[in-house]
Amino acid sequence: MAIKIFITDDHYMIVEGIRSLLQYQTGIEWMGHAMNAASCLAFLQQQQPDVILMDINLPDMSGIDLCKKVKARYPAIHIVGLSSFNQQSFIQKMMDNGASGYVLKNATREELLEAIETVMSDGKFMSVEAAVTIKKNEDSKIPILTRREREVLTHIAEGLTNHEIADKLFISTTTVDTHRKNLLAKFAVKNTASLIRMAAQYQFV
Amino acid sequence: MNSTEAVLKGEEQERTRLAKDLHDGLGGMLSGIKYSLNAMKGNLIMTPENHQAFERSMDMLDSSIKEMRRVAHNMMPEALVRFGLDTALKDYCHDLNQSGALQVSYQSIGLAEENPDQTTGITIYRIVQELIGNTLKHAAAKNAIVQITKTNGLLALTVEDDGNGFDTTLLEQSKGIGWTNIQHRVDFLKGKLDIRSAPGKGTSVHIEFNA
Repeated sequence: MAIKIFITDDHYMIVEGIRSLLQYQTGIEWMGHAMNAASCLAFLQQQQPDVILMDINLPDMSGIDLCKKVKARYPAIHIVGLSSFNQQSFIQKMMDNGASGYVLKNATREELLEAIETVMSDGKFMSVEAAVTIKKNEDSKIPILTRREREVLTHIAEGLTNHEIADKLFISTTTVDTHRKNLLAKFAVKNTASLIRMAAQYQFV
Repeated sequence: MNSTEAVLKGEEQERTRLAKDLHDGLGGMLSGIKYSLNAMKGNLIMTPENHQAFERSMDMLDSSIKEMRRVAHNMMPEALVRFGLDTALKDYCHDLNQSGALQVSYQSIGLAEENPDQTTGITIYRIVQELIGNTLKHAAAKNAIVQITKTNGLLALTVEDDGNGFDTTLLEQSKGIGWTNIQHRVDFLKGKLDIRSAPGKGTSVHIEFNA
């Protein structure tokens, strides 16, 4: 059975472009398009496609929000985000809201077809470029300290008070206090004693 | 509203408008053209030379789309307007890491729950752009830290690198446009600017203000 495709994008040329890419493709049935979120939702009340290609930027609602709405009402529909943004936050938010794929608008026909096939078999698809962007660097566990924080930490370990540290570094006591609080947060500890213990463990002092 | 504030605000509004026009207008059209051409490719019979020329044109079109995206993004990052400063800075540092020009670690404490208002956010973002720009241009650094923290209503920004560093007394004699820009923005935030640097010792810039 042909895969039923619907597109929601407010750029006429994009809609036409993708239609021309897909309409003579065997195994794909073009259901039509909506230029905004409202008309997309109205269409879905009448018929439901298998896959919606959804732009992130819509005039009345963001594609990210629309994605969530559609998935809540029609969980069976697969959504592929369609955007020229290659930004981690956009991709992440779209996927968090239930999208099965994310394709950049400079994708080729092959990539688009692959995306449709992958999401139809319940897989996740991402444009190569987008996938590279989303690949997270594993955070190392050792906290990264700024130079000033190291100085403050050293003085804390020497047993100096906020006031004494402030005098030594020519900064205000509130600033020292800020550094101290940030150090506690970075080492994920509650008090100065455990801060010093952890700092020694990581050989900062 | 004083005049610096008015100028900064006007400038950002103009940038937002331009970036949106570029991204939505020009970007949409270029992508549309690409799709139409791609569709044509399947239905045309071309000589090998023509085919090569066609592929080259497609590559150029791709580069144009990329370049347009880059320009629009530098002008006004969408993430900043939509998701706030924390996300925008995370993206910014992530992009730098991807480019391989500099390893930037981004850290934020106490910002995720409460983003500063948009004008403050944009101002901080520009300061970070300017400072990292300096690092890229002059420092020949390998690593950098961008850190923003909020504790008890005090916002603190640190941008640090392990590069060449410079003699800070030179700044007192003559400030370049870059540093003047930064100083203006810090003044606008009613903040304190603290620059620590020495030749061969890297640079650490610390800014704090009440937010």
